[in-house]
Amino acid sequence: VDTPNAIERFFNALAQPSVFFILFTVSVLGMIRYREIVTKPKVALAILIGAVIFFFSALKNPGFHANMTKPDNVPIAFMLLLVGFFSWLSLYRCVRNDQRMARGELPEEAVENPKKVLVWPDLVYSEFICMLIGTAILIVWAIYLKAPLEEPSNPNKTPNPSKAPWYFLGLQEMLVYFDPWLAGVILPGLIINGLMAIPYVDTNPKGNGYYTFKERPFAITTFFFGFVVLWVSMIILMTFLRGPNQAFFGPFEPWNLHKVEATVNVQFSQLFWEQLLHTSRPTFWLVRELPGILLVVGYLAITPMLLAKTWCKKMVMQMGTPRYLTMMIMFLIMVAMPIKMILRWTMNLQYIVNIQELFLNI
Amino acid sequence: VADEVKPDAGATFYDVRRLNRWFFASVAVLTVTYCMSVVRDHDREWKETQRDFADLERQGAVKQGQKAFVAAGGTKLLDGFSTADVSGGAGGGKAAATEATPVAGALSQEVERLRAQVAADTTKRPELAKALHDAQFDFDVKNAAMKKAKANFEADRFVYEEEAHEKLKPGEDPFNPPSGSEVRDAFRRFSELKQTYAEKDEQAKAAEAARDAAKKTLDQFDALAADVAAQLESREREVERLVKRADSVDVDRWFNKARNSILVNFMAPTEQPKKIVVNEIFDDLNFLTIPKVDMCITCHLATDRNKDYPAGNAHVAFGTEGNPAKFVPRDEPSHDSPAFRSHSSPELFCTSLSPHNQDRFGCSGCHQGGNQRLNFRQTFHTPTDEAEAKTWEKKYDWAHVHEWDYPMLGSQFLDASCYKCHKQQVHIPGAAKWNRGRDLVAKFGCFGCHKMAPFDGERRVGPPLGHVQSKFASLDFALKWIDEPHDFRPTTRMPSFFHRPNRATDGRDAAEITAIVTYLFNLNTPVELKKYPGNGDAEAGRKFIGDMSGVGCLGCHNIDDYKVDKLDGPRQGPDLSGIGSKVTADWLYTWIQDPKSLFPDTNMPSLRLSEQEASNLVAYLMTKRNVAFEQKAFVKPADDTVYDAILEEKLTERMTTQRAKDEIAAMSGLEKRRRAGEFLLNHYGCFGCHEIPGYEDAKPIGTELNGWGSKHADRLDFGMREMEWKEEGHFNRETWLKQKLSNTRVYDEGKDKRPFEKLKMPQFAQLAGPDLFLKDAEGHELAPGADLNAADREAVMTFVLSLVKDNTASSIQRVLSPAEASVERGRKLVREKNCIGCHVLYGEGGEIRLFSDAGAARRKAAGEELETNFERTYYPPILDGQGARTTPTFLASFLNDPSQGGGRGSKAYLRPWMKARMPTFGFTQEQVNDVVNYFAHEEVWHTSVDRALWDDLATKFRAAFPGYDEKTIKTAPADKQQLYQALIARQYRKQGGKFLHDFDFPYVALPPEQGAKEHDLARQLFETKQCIGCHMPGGVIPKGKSEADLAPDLTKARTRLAPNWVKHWFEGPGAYQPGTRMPNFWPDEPPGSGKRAPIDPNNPSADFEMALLRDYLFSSQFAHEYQAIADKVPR
Repeated sequence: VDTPNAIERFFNALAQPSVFFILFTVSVLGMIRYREIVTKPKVALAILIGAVIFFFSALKNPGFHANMTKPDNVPIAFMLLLVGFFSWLSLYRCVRNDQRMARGELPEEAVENPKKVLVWPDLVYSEFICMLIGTAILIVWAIYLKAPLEEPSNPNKTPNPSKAPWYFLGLQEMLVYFDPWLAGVILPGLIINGLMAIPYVDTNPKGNGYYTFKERPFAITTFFFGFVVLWVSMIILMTFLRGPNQAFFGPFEPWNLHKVEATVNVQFSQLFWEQLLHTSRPTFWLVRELPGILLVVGYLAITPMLLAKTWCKKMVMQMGTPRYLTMMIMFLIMVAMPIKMILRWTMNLQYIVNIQELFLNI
Repeated sequence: VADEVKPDAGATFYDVRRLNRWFFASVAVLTVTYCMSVVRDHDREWKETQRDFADLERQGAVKQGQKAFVAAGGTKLLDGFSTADVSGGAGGGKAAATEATPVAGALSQEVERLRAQVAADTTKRPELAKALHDAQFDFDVKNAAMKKAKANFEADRFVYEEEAHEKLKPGEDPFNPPSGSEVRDAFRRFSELKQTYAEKDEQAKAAEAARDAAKKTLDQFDALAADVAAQLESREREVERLVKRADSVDVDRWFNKARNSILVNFMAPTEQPKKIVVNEIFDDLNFLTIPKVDMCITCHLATDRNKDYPAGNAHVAFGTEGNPAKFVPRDEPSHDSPAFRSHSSPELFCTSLSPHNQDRFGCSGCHQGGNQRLNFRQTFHTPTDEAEAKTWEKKYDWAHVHEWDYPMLGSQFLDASCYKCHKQQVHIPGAAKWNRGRDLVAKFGCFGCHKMAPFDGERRVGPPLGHVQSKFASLDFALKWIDEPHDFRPTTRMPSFFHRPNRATDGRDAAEITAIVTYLFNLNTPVELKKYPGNGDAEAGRKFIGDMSGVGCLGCHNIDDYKVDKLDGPRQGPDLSGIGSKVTADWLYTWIQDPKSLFPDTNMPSLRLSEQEASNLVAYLMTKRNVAFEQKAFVKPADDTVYDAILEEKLTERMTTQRAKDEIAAMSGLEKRRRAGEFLLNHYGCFGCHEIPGYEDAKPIGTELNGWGSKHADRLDFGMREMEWKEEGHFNRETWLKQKLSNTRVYDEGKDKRPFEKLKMPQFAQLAGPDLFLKDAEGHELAPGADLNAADREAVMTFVLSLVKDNTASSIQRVLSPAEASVERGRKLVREKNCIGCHVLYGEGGEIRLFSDAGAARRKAAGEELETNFERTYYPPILDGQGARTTPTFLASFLNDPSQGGGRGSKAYLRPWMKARMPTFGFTQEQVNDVVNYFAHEEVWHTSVDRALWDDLATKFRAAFPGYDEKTIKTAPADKQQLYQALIARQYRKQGGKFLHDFDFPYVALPPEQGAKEHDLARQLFETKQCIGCHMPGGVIPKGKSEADLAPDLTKARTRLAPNWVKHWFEGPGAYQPGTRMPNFWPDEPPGSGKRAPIDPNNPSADFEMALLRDYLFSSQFAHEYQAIADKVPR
């Protein structure tokens, strides 16, 4: 078994979940902030070429190679490419439109076709053609990348690591940080409800039918954060960086079954009473967990109000209080996810509220 | 921006014509990809294999076609081939014709003769026909004349008779009328007509005979011609048949191509997957158990071919592993086709003649692997070695695939599969490696720690440790012995626990050993030993062990004074060199006289030693000291700190550290060692092999091995090797086990563990891998990397791998009947008690003979004169066919007491000159029955009744299967010989053959008493045959003879021997027991052959004489007369 060289060790270090997540978040936000530079075709092409060179030179590493060429993982790698491409495309067109509108011109879409288009043939026919091509691609794919057939399933010998299908990996990753009732029931429900609520919450008519960033910076940034950072990066993390026993492995680290991670989780109540107040935790659960409960309630109840009075005054005025509150609570819950992840990685914090007596953990 | 704008009814956003072009393009792409999927689905690896095989069959048919073509006479029958030209293009027929042309000139004489006859046909037949025609004409003419004469005569007869009646006087003869009478003229006319008729009739008859002869000649000629035509025609037909056959499997023929072509091949393809549904062996899919469906025969198409099917397409044509066929597939000239070989053991597997025919047993029941998949890699072929893996990688794109629980067994482990169904057998004929593995496991007592079904309820293999204090010469010896048993005795079965690679060198080993020995010596249970009187004569003892004339110790033990090169492994008993350093004289004196008093379960039998003999032996054995070992120092720990550490580690498992420390502090030094010893004894599981008071019912400490052969590799601890082996494809149970046996502590390498967490399985030197033990069993230094034990290790692995999860139906199991189970128990006893240490049994054993041979060689070298084969006089008898030779009642009484009442110090009564004694084993009655059953029911040639049938079957068998020719089988290992006999016995049974035990068990009928006349004849025969010259009662040596000439005492023949056997024996002792000194009287000198006169001139048959002599031996007076005859012999 080859031990990783210095460069490989460097990338392994970058792939540590906390580093990886922060780098990923920073680069997504940076891409939005410096979109005018990043979306220039030459810069984008350079980034693409750089990524491709990295990918192919990394394939020399047997572990990386095995991980990437696993029939399950190939489509995920391809889809990452698609996510990158479409992110670039949307921002590229946003930038162009914003520049045009700054110059007082109409967006490109309005110039191209000022009228509405017909369902037939413009929509249905073109969709049908896309379907045919998509099917052809799937067939070729199925021919050349055969479905991995494994041994008969055995309840006494489950695969290690056991992973959900790729599109659920974000959910599975959430289970690491939250109690199952939260990560498996409440949060997925909120995601679906939140997505359904968007048309009712976001009544901003700008951006309908054309790309723009300047006219909806909060909406687009939130989308990028929620989808690319919190969903796609979780898929990357789960697919390529989590190995046997759900332990983290760098891209160039062999998947050793026996890797042990030193994780002794602590509860928020421990931090509060033992670390901060240097006293043992109260025995009555309500008193013990009161700081955590206050923190959670405060986070969800007080923060929207504080924000409404300070940075979000304009937003409250535009949206009205009910829409603002709905949106803000959803937003805060979404943001709670990375907060909890970072707390876990940095402080091994398991739960903010840990009421074992009632089987209630937050 | 544009929401108020209405769509323009006429204009479209996209150009429709362009969309149409896109549409057609995408439809085209989709169609192409769809076709691709169909084509890819059609194009399978196995089809190419089947095409190659079809080509092989075509080649076979073509070759046969050529032969038939030549036999049919060549050129004339070329027409037959031309039909194939029309139908097959470049097909088989044409090839056969053209390939045969060069040899067509060499017509056989027979065909020439037939041809000549056919040619003669055209010239000779008209002549014959004309002759017939002429004869017919002649006959017709003459016949007509005869008829006319007859009519005239008959008409005139009436006239004359009437006339004579009227005119003649009474008394006158009408057919001799008196001369001058008036009917005289009429009579003359009548007589003339009669005469004419007679003449014409004569002529007609002659003509008829001539015509018949002519007809017969013609008919004979026609019959011959028809026969010739038929013969030629049948030869033509055979050619036609083979042409058709070649055509039917010709893959290049358009019809076959069409049948196998894409989208049409669902109807009647020649290429299709083939399968065997095995209803009695199952695939376990974890949630469901299904009958095995083996599709292996899709590619392995010739597995069931043997000589009889199809005729001419013998396995020889397909080749076997050892003898690959010279077959060249169509496209790959260098490709050898193992897939097309017949099974390498056609006598045992796959073929219709074998006990495990393919249709019932399938393939994967034994071989494992991905039985329902159809390409080389996905069926999980497992290479035997790295070289094969390399070849496969190149040839078949093979690679290790992990996604299967049961990849194929490597061919070296295939014997492991036999146990699946042959669970009740201790020795499976044909599974030599498994048998060896089982023997080794039984010998090393692996089951002491690892529970395994074949050894449930088995006795412990080591001696009891209850009274070590009185057994061991000193405490120091015990310490050094546990420290490293192999230093004292390289061949010992006791494994090494200490100084292994995972042990620290900090003195802990010495402390642990001291603790264990302290514990054991304090366990001491009282045992009364006989006092060694000290009157032994060491030299007498040495001679008593002897080489040529020893009492028999060497059948089981080695000792350095009598060394034999070939026997260095662990034998039945320990090597006795150095025994004087180990045990006390009193213990030894008690032990050799009555081993069972000290170790009730011991396999050591009693040799019925007298006290003086025992003393001599003890005196001799006590001189055998291992001085080097005695001088070795054992350093005990200087203080108690190590014991404290041991106790603390153990005690804190169930109490707090402080309490443990308090408890330890309260102990005395001895108490500490004893407690530590107790912990360690439990830790190392000494009671697995040794009986220790208080641990009689202790549970074995090792992993249970039942089902181990199905254990998943990820349930095994590969230590630091896991990642490496996963990458190299060695992450499997076989490799794990191999390394484990090579070095039992290997998976601790590079691991940080507390002492009690470390792997503790001891190292068996006889299975150890290279570089673990630096000396071999003889004490010679080993070269680095030398691996002496690879074969034994593989045998043990085969055995362990055979312990799999059950996946067979009870109907396919080899279930033993109660009688067969008794036989099997007997077989086990015979091996366990090491009968084959002294006796040869079906080609196996007889180790003591090696000492005898070596002794003889030594004496010869020292210039002593020895008669030829003198040493063989002292060979214990061969036991082949023992059950046929002796009666069950005799054998039982003999096993109970071999001295037959002789008591202590007595020799064998049957062969009194023998020095080696048949020991008293102290069998229980059940064990005696089992052994007797075993010998009586062993179904081999010796016990068969119908020798002619057996020999016939054996001849056929040898002809049918490779590797069984007479010469090979004679020198083959015992296992193969036993298999050979078992397989013939199976056929013999099927053909209705009987064995002696079918009607002669357990009571054997005596032949009827002889009449006085026969008795006299028989006695005369006995005397003329000079039987007494060798068969002297009491082992007395007649004058002019030596011990080398002696043969068994016949006094008890009546009760001992089986009459049926005696007859067989007389028929040919040499064939019965090769090398016997009994002359082949009757086969060599049959009565009346000129070599000698028959004993009864009225009955000069060998059968009569043999029966006569046999009946004499069994007569009631024989014993008496025998003595009388013997008394007359000069001594």
